[in-house]
Amino acid sequence: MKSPRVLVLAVQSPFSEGGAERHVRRLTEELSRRGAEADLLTIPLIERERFDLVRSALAWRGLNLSEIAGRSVDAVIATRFPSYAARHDNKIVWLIHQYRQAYDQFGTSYSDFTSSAEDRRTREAIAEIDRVGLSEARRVFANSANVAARLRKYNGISSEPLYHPPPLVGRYRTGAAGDYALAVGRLDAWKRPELPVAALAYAPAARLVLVGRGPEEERLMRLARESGVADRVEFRPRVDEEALIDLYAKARLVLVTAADEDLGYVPLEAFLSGKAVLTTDDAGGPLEFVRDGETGFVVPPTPEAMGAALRVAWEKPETLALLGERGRREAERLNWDDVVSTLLSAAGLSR
Amino acid sequence: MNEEGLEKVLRDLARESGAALAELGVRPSDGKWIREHARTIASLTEPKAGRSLRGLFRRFRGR
Repeated sequence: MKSPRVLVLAVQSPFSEGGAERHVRRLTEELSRRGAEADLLTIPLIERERFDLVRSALAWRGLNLSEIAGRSVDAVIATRFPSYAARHDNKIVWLIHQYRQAYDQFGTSYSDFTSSAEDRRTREAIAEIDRVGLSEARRVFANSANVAARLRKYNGISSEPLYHPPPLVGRYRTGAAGDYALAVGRLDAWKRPELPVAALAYAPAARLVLVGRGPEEERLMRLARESGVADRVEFRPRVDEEALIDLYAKARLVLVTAADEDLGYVPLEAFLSGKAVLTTDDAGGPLEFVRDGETGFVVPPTPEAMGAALRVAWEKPETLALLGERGRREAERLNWDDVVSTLLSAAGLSR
Repeated sequence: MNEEGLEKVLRDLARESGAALAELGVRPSDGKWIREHARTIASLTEPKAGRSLRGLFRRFRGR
């Protein structure tokens, strides 16, 4: 059988390389590795004004991707708003996330949409672009059950969660529990990095290593000083991949504090390193893997509750090892073979 | 391309992209967006942008 020709459709953010960019590149590589003739097609989404969102969708809509260089394209896999506005008879969507500012984040500090007439119309247009682009797809998958639930809630569109392993899969390793809790991620307000710092005041034996940088860094340092825990917090703004793997391997447990994550790689990375995860009951995607008392701790998003869980973690390392091992077994089931096979099969291109 | 040919290309582009915009939820009442889009198409005809813009704009509004 001929190699299926598949295009992965992605949105580019010029001059920035985030998780989404790495994810679509990886998907393209994994498709190629398994015999597809795959390539990545990107169009930038540059938002200077509201119309740019519609303009970008129009750019995707205007493409005829059925044939390239005289050969047919067997399927396209669209990933993010508004790439799924592209037309193709065999369009599969694997949704990383929607344009959240128009939906669940609207009315919060994470969205700059106001109640102005233009913003209202833009949100309506985004919903219409989603409806048109997603409803004509042959199958819609979501990155997580949380992303699928949002799509159902805001757009009435059904999708299936399709999980994939974290970026450094195959390289994580387990190691003896160290004396620090690890938190990994950009120091952005919505990630709530102040929670683990403030929690230290309620767990006198605990130490914290915070990996990441971002606009909250100064504020966190001040909070650590004012809370009297600065000597138990280590800031690691930049670590390379090997150092990150090592930090996971030697952690006592891993903290995940962002609210309503789409999926969240950190819990999976922690589990593949054999570590239990402490997260909050509003974490979103992470709760699809972190279950209280099974693979970690799930507590309300308060420093007191996190501090209480940290005290347990420092008093009962044997419990942590058990939870981490359960998590590891679960996370090890995720693999790219299944992802690629599911996507190609959905496109009628099973080999 | 002569002026007539250019006009036809622009008309086709305006018709096709106008239809796609409508499909994506843009309405005739979204005047600002339609003008923006017409300006983009008209910019392809510089220096005759002004005249083409007026024609294209009428075409969108008439949808």
